[in-house]
Amino acid sequence: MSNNLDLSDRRFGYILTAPTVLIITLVILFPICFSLISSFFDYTLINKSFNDFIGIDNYINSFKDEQLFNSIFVTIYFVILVVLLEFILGFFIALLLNSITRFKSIYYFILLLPLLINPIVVGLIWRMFLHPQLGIFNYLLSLINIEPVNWLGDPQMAFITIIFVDIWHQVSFMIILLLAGLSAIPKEPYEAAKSDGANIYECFIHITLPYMRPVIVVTILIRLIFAIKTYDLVYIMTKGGPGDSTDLISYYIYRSAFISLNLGEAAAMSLILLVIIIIITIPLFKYMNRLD
Amino acid sequence: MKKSILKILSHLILIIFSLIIILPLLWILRNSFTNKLNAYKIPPEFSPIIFDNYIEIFSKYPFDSYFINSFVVAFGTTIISLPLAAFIAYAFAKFNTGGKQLRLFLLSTQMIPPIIIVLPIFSIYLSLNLLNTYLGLIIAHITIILPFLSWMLISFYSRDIFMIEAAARSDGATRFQALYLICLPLIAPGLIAAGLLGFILSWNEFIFVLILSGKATSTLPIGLSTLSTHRGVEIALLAAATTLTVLPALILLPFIKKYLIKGLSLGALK
Amino acid sequence: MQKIEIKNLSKTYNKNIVAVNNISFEIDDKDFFVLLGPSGCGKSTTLRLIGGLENCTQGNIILGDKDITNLDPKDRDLAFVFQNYALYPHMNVRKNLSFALKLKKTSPKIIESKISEVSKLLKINEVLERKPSELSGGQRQRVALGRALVRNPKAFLLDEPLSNLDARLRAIMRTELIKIHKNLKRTFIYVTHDQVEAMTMANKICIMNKGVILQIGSPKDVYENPNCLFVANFLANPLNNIIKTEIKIDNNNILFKKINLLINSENFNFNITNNEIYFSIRPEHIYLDKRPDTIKIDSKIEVLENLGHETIVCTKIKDTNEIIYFRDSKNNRFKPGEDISIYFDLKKMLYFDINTELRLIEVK
Repeated sequence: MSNNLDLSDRRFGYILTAPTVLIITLVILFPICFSLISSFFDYTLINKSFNDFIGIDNYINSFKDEQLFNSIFVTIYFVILVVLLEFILGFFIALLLNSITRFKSIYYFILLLPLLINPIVVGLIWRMFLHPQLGIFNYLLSLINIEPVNWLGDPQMAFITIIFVDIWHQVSFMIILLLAGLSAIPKEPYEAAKSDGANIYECFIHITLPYMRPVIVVTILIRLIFAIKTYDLVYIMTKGGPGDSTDLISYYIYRSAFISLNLGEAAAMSLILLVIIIIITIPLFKYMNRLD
Repeated sequence: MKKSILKILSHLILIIFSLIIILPLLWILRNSFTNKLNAYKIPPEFSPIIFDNYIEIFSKYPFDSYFINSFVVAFGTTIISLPLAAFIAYAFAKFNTGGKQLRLFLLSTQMIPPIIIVLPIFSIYLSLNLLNTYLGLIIAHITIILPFLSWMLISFYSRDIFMIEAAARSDGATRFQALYLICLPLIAPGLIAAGLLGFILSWNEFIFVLILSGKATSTLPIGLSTLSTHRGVEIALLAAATTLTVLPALILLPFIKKYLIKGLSLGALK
Repeated sequence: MQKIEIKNLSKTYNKNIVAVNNISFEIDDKDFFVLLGPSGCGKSTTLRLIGGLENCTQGNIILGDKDITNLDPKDRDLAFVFQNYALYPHMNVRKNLSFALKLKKTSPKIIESKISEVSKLLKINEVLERKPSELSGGQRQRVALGRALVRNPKAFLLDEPLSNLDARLRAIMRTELIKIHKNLKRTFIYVTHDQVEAMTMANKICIMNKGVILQIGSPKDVYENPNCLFVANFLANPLNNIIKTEIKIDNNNILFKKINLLINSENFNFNITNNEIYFSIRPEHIYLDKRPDTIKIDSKIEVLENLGHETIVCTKIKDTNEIIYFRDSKNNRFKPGEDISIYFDLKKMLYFDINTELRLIEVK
């Protein structure tokens, strides 16, 4: 038996949901469809028309493009290193923070600061510090007799520098989420384990880690997906260089579109990136689904 | 005994860690108040506090218009997104409208690298004459802010709130009256926190404005990046501009601290 | 005039959890109608269905001669009082009270007079400017009640309104509710799991369990004539003696094996299909002296619970493991371990079928 009240419940839900869904569909799905279409045309900033259908040429060109593969590899290295290092450091700091009570809110406040600063500012700040001659960093190193380092001028060093700066900027994200998870673990299991004679290490392995597993998985997956989006830092600090050592995929797509002006090929690359993102996102969603 | 050594060691590590985070920020603050030469000096020298740099970025560079642009875009984005997010979050929490699929769809939009969306938007805006307009930037920013706020607000609608809403319904309120007279005032702390966070996100956003704005609508991050490339590195000026850009977020931080986790974890963690 | 009729009402959650299962009953105008049952029995759901806070899966709700099943709650003209009060925390008491009237666009003058009338009645006129968080539990409860009273609705729906109060306040509020009901001359539908509330306030009790109605009747009726074991067991303070026993009938006597009780079959006119039954006898129907129609049982005192005005005596029937409780109006009369004789009132013993748990009907 259908029911009027149920119906009006549902209708009210739809009325409240509709504007957002409509806007999001219009401003996200529509552009993606537009990308899809333009990726099959010779569509450039100079020739902005859908006259020259070229089939999958843009995709073929993308797959032939060594620079694209370079940027994908750079991105993979970057993402893995950044997430791994941030996780290890973040978990360590979170454990320390969870073990103390004094000054906790001061530390917490300080580590929230970087999260609210935009990457452009972060990049600028560190560019000033790391300037080979004018930066204070090399001066501080000279105080302990270390030769000046060309932080952003050397390909390998630049890659490491970008990773360091990203850690400085984003490790707080890991700390905050992991700390939230840690503080939600009940006290009783620890007390029981201690009375059973377990030491700190055993407590960590047998209580902390199992309790934290869902939090760890979600935190790492979210951070992973966000790390793939990294763009601003490279834009302001290295412009993808020196050479192509820090040419992250988002930045490379931007370059193709606005420096080589080939919007069609950039669209094709965007969609390749989108597929990669979707593949990574599915396990996150599956996991979050299970948590509910 | 062993315990207190461990405690001291923990604090020592945390202090070093905090210093690594905060010293660069303090150094920038210091540089913003020095004269131009002193800012370059290595090793650093003592320098009296002056405000010349702040005056100069407004007099010689259009930082006033960057400021206004940033504010208009961030404010416009938040004002439009917040009520819509409050509505959809209500529908999710109460009726589970659209089920999990719709919620995950909304979340998935957060996973898409902005570069993928901004290129076609650029082409579309070009033909709609929306490039270099406030409206264009606000619409683009809504794509980031709206799903984010929607997710963040879901968990603010608790069972207790729906109970009080039920009382209002039996008191004779229509669905809509119960929503805006009872539910929305009750989640006001959440709305404020979400609004502030949305504002900061939009304020900090770079890639959309880089590609979609022009001279008339450039926001602070664009201003900063052009300032940094114009004439080499003008450390003192850049420091002043940076300080001003970061300031609003730092002022707002104490008000949103409590709710940041909910926002950052996209609601995946409580 | 405003009879409420519930016809074949059902509520199913998530397609398989049945909260209310095809129930039907009528509530007369001006009744104090109590829905009584353990938690999870569907009584609150029933009330929420009547109030329109939830949608029923099946059935009809008729108020007067109007079918209100699918009506929006705001159009039903029924006032709800919630267990945790559900006051509007962001409004002061005055605004809480006037909220419904303002929605109805009542003139400020009438609102003002209504509020002062109700707040005086409920003794909350001193706290009108306070926020709910600044009130005591008892005051919050009164405001919740007041919010319903100002509306002058067709009926009041009260969902365990006293359960968050301490015992003393609860007793006071019980009396006040009875007074209010008398003065208002309106229908009250009251949900509770507390049988004392039900017995003292109701003029009709409806006992529910597992989503179905077991019995409806006056407090006296359901207490003295429970139609099934559950009702006999649930409506008992502090408890009812219920014993499951095998019986043996020979000629003129019936033996209750479990407690070695032999009674004359004159006192037992039932058709038995099974040689096992439940029987119940309330503590107050066990005497310490011989009276007409009683039967003597020997027992040994186990525990004494002194309640001040009376003593609950827990005693073990001789040569068995069965424990029987009874009331003694005098204190400190016995000691544990003492042997005593008690007398069961044969006219008050009730018998229930072992399978259906329904009351056995006397054969005349």
